[in-house]
This record gives sequence, C-alpha cells and structure tokens, in this order.
Amino acid sequence: MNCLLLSPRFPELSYWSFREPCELLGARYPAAPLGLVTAAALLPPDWTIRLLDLNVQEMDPAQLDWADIVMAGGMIPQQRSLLALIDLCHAHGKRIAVGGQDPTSQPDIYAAADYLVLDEGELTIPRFLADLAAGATSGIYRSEEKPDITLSPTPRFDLLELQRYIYTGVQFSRGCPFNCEFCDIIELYGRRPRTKTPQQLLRELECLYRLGYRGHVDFVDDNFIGNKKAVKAFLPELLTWSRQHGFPFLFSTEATINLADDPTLLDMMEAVDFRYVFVGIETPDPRLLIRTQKKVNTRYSVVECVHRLNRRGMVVTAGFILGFDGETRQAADAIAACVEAAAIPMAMVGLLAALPNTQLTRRLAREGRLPEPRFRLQPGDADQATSGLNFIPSRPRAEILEDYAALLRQVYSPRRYFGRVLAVARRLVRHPKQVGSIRGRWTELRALGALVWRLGFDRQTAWYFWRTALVVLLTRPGNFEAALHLMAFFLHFRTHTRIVLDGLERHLHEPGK
Amino acid sequence: MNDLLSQDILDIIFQDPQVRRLHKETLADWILDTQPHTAPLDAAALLEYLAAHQPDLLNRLKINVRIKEDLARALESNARN
Repeated sequence: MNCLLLSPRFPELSYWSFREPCELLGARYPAAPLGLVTAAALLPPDWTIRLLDLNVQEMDPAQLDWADIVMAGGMIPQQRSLLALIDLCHAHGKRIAVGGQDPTSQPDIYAAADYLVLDEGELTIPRFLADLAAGATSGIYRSEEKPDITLSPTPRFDLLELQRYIYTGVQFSRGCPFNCEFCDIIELYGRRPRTKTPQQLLRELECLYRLGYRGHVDFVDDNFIGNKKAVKAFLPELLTWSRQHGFPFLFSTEATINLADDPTLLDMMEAVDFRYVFVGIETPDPRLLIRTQKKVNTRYSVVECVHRLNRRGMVVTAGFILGFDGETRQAADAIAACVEAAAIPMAMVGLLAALPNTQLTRRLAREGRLPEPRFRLQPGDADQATSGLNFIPSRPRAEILEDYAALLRQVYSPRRYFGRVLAVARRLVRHPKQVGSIRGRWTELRALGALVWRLGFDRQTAWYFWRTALVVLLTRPGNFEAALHLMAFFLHFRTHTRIVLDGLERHLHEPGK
Repeated sequence: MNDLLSQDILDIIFQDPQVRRLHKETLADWILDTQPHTAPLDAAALLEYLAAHQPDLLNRLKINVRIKEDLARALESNARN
C-alpha cells in the first residue's frame, strides 16, 4: 500500500510562522510536523510511506497518482489548507483520511473526507486500518478512552527532511492538570497528564541523533511540568544521555509559571540545556485570571518568575490575551506594563478566541453570545491576532480592538522591543552545553551578516540594534548570541504587527463597526 | 472607587504564602459563583465579602502599605453607603 502523508499549509504569515528568521537560518518553516510522523509510526510496516509537508515543499498534484491512500491532519490554522486537500484528493479520485486536533474538535467541518480518524491515533488508527483492510470506503473512528502513551512507537523522524526546519519536536507528555476555561488541550487530552517512559523518550532522541540531527529540540508537551514527578525522573536520565553523546541538543518547551517555583526542576532543566520556555501568562490581572480559571498564575508574581527563569538560562516567551469577560480599558496597559517589567521580548499578544469544545465556548453558547458555533477560518485569518473575538465580548468590540492595536504598537515598537532584548541579555545566566556544528556556525555567520544589513542600516532600528549589540558585547559577551537571535525575531514581529494593524484599521473603519 | 483596588487586593492575597490556600479557594469560588462574569469585579462587593467572611485578612490588608490609603477611602465610602 502506498500512503502519502500530507501536512497542510499554515497561513503564510502568523505569529508562529517566523518567516524572516527561517530565511536567515536557511530553513523553510520553524517546526516539523510531529503529529504526522507519530501517526506514520502506527501504520503497517509493509506500507510504503511518503511525507509531504506543504509548509516546506510545493506539491505537484501528480504526486497523488502514486498514492493508494492519502492521510492528512492538522490544527485550526491549517483548516483551510486541509479542506482544500480533501477536494484535491477527490478531484484525483483518491481517498483521504483526516485526523488531528481540528478534525477531532469539529468533525462536521471535515465531513467530506472519506475517513475521519479522530482523537488519539494510538487507539483509532488500528481500527481504521482494520476496516480499510476489510474494504471499507468510509468511516468515523473515535475513542473516549485516552491511550497509554508508554506504548506509543518512536515517531518516523526518518520521513522528515530535518534540515528544512529551525527545530524538531518530541513529546514527553499529553494533557495538563489545570482547568483554564479557554483551553482546548484539557478537552482533547484530558487533565491527567500521561507521560512516556524515560527510556522511550531517549530512544526517540537516539533516533534523531542517528539521523544526524543536531541542535534545537522542542518538547511540544501541552505543559511539560504537568506531571512533575515524572519529569524529575526523566531529566537526570536525559542529562546522562546528553553527556554520553556530547550534548547534541538544546531544548525548549511550554510550561506553567509554577516552573519558576521549583528550584530542583530548574536545576535539572538548566543542566540539560533548556534555553526557551513558553509560558501562558494571559493577563497580569488576578480578577481575570480567577474568572478564566487560570488560578495557578494568581499565586506568583509573574515578573519575579520570569526573571528567575532568565537567571536559569531560559528566555521566556509568553502568551497574553485581550478580550476576557469583565476586563476594563486598563487591561491592555496592564499587559504592556507586565511585558516591559518582566522584559519578555517575544510576547504573543492575541485576542481571546472561543475554541471549539472548551468550557468557554459552552458558556458563551449558553449565554447566547456565540453567533457561529463552528470555528471556521476566514480568508486572511492566521492566528489569535486575526481570528479571535469570535463571540460577543463583554465590552464593546471596537474598544477592545482599539486597545489591542495600541498594545501591539507599544509592545513591538523598536525602542521597546530592543530595550527588552537588552534587559533579558543582561539578566540571562546561561551555560550552554550544545555548541553546534561547524556547518551550523557558518550558517549563523551568514545570518549575522544579513541581520546587520537588515537591522543595522535601517533608519527605524539602526540605533537600537547597534546599542543593544554593543552593550551586550561589552557587558555580557556570553549572551551575545542569545541577543542576536532575539533581535532576528524582530524582523518577523515587525512584519506581523504591521499586517495585523492594517487588518485592525480596516476592521475599525468598516461602516457599522 | 479606584478601579485597580480590587486587582491590588487580589494580587496581595493570592501571592501571600501566609494566606491559607483554603481561604484563597473560597474567595475565588465566591467570585466565580456570585459576581457577574461580564462586569469588572466590584471592589465594594469584594470588601463586603472580606468583612463578612475573612475579617482577619481584611485587617491585614488595612496595614499593607501598598493599598492602605485607597483601602481606607474605599471602606469609608462603603460605610457611608
């Protein structure tokens, strides 16, 4: 059986596309499609599998002719591309099976697909395969049960062209113990985090290592520290493995802010070379945090926590949300002040979105505040910056959008962004273990040249760029590389902010708004 | 009444390790169960709740230098009304 796995396109310019940094580093897209290579490992060993990631490769429709079956999956931002793939497959007379987060959350949108292989593949893919072998030409496969992921096979990393990505992902756990009202993770993967065994994860890293991959590995876990006991059992094993292999990887992940409150865990993460952590801060206002059931954040001073993580070598990227029920006009200012005080250069500031199957969506529907029950992306929608506020908010929409535009202008003004880069570079205490290859160094050197050209001779950024570069070189030369990376990301944020602001301007000046 | 007072009060209470977790949970539940979702949290209602259910906590807030003046004004205004 010839099986073609397709990873649908993400929108051309979203917060997460990082187009310019990818160009600088010779990559085509930031992250490899871990979900598809995980699914690939669950397919019969005698199948011939090809993977095409449309974010890094163009597809010749003739490639479909080779396939006996096409499989594709994706998240909300990939919705439009995935729907187009279903049509394309049918136009070529091919059957297509779809799965992943968005089809699982709203299968009716994908009703045209031949097979809907939903929920977690470890349980539903075998049932799909059995039916397929028996000649079924359609089917919907669901499971209310959550699989034991200690039984998950090593993802088929060999199907990926790893050099086309900035980083590749691995997954240690699924699920999150917290209960945030707006979050779909707990609906999809549950509130009891399930983890792989340390040996299992090390096998995955060994596989990447043997494929020649070196560099950045992202733990894509919904909350890496959801099960602290399991993480604490795993990290010492990872340290031993990394030592034995000469520290081939540096790491990043996503975690809740209580990470900063656990010195043992921080010691372990520092030792294995975690350099980036994404934290959902959402808002610094405890009134809103309580209402949105993100009580874990109310227990800590966000600013202190971020600084503590910086002192452990980790650059914090953070998510913030505008549009919560009960917020006032001060909300945007409070977020801006928090971003500045904590010095978070990469702040993902988005609009609240009522995602499918969340407690928030169910409440808004009960209150008659959800005009469209399905989360359908419109042309131009890319991320939370453009597709949020899909409900009737508690304060005037125009007011929120005005505040949002002002917030984006403030957070991504060159003066403020480079100021935060400087602040974090001066605070960061990093002892890098992973040093990179000679080829990687050469790529970074070329990227530095391009960065100097694009930021160092641009009227809007030149002063801030040279000041930051020189001050870091003179005061914290060990953090120069980290500062350069963060400055490179400004190229992306500048473009992204401009496009979002243009969209907001148009929206605010539409008649009747 | 100062709109940020309720934010400051909750900040202080929730970040104070000496305040028992049970008290924090009860306060959070009171906000979720009784206060309207779509309006900003009413500081006057919050003070009334603290006075009635957690008076020790309110007394500690009264001597907190960060908010004591705003809090005194708010309590006075509550008493007048």
